[in-house]
Amino acid sequence: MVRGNFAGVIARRELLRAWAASLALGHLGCARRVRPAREEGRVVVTFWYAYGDRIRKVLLSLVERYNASQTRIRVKAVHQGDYFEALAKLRTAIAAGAAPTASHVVLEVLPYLARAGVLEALDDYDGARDLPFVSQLAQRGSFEGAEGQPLFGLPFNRSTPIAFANGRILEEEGAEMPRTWDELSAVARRLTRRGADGQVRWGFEVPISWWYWVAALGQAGGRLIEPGGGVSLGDAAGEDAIRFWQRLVRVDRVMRPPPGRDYQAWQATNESFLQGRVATMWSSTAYVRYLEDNARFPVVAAPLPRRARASVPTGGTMLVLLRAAPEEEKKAGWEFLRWLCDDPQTLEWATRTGYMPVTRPAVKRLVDTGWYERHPNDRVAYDQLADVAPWPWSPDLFRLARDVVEPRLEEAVLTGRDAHELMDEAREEARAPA
Amino acid sequence: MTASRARLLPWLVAAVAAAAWLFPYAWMVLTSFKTLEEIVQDPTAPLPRHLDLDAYREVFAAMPVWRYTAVTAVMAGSIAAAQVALALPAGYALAKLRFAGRPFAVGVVLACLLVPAQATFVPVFLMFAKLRMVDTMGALILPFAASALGTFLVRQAMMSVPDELIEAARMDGASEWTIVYRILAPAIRPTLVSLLLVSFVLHYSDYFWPLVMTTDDGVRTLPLGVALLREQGTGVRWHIVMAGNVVLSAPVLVLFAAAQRQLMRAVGGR
Repeated sequence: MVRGNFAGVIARRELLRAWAASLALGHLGCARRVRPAREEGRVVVTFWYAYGDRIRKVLLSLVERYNASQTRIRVKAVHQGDYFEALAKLRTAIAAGAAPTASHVVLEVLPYLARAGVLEALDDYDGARDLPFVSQLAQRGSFEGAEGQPLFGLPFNRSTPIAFANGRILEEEGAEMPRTWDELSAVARRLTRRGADGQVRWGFEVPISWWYWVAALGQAGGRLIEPGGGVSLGDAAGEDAIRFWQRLVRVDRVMRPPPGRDYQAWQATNESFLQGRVATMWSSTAYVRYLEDNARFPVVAAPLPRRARASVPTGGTMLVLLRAAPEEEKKAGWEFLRWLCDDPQTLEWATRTGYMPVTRPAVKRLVDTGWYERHPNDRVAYDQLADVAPWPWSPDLFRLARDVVEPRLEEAVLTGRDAHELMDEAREEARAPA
Repeated sequence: MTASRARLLPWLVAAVAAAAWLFPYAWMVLTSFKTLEEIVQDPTAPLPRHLDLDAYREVFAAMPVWRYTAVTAVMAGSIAAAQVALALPAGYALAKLRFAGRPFAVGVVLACLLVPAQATFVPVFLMFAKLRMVDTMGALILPFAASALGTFLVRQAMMSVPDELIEAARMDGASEWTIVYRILAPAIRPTLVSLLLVSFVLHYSDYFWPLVMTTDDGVRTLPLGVALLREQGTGVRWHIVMAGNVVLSAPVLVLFAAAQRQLMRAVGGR
């Protein structure tokens, strides 16, 4: 008997997490379908996706076009919640023998799924080795230590953190976008205004979230996992990143205190920015269209500032095929994924969604057609790829993100807890067996 | 003056409580009529500049609202009906029948209320997957057909029914089924109505279980449809999300309005 009122009492994300976590790796990949699904003589490729609203519409229009363009394959795209809900469902479906043909997964979980043996190696599929991806966004450029790994993921909706400023405020104050952490502190101080009515215009805001912490850690000269494989979480650099935020919020009082966690914080930061309550912020390149379309001021993008060095992680998701799917479905699934990576689709996806173009010919086309001249913020995002710091190819990466670091960041900034003590605790948890 | 103040106080407290409950809903409805520009530029503005229905058009274009609503209503209605139907004999047995181990049986029902969801969802899901029932209405309904909470509530309500009523029915030759469904059920009608409504609303708005048990659009429910309207990675269009939630909650509000008297009687014990 399942209690009727559980779902209303416990947050669904908690349930999903517990649910997915309870499925041991041993279960994964153990069940597979032998016969491919067919519909009106066409092989059915089930594609699970986690996009909502306008991004979903773009994807569905591409799928519709693909289905109309040939008669052998029918792609059925099915929404499965947000990224993390879709991931939990994917893991469970694999265990239950109900895996789809293809899906897309967040970057950080790719090594984990690869080790679990649930992803199809793509190297031997027709043309897989020749896809002209932008190197920093492809699997081998997005991860270090992945050189000997088979190809499991194709880049699709990819993004990086980036700095945005309210162009009007910059002009009024005669300020420039900061290029270093010191400049960021100074500019944030200069742009912060406290009104007599208690209203504050903050100089700076960043969502207190794993991705941005990794960016700051990299800028401070650290790395999550050392070349020998030891989890350091950046050691002193990871702590510096937290201290930097603590100082901006608690000492300088120029950064808005964290307004939530995870994607809530991302959205809240964007909205503060659009309302003119924040002069500069770090956000995702994927928000560029949303910000440009809804701001009443010029939106100015700039590379993230550096400390010891310039550094940005990449984010978003990779397209994957599931190993448990029948062979014929996987072949059909590959044809669809490859089609998605062709220039017209890549261009349409990038220009309509705000995600980065993932192939070199698509980038060249954008340059040739003057897209970047008309959209200089997109150019900043693309140029910043020169500063990409690849992720470590570690099956623990996803656990570090979701269970070890993310839950600690908000508390660290809000309470001002000692960064060294906090990260020691995190490192201890990270090194404990999962 | 003091007496009139004393008379006003309950009204005042009730008005404040009602405002606290209604405010978020009113906010949701008003936001659904705004444009995204209005929301992001001035989120605290109480009223929309114009009555903009674009968000509702987008909601109805983005998903098959009527089909999702029908699936959701059938699912929630079936669960609520099954819970009432099964809680009646179970509650009757625990309240009125004398048998060895009855206190233990009551304890088991109470213990079911304490079992965490994490302990039951995985085996239940895997069981349904083995039975090839994922993506079926059965998978949405059956796990909730028996309710520990419902059994407990019905038992408590039946405790207050005099035994003489049951004895008289037995003397008239009524079977146990007749006693349960024809005699006791009407006697505890307010409890059954409130159980029915609470169960319906709970499962009508459930997001988690339908998400777990459906991988295809055929048996998708409305809360899952509303989730289609939210895009996290590139910016949320709040007016559309709010319109989706208005569409989701409207049938339940209508249901509550229709059954308000029964509910008040159940709560008031009259």
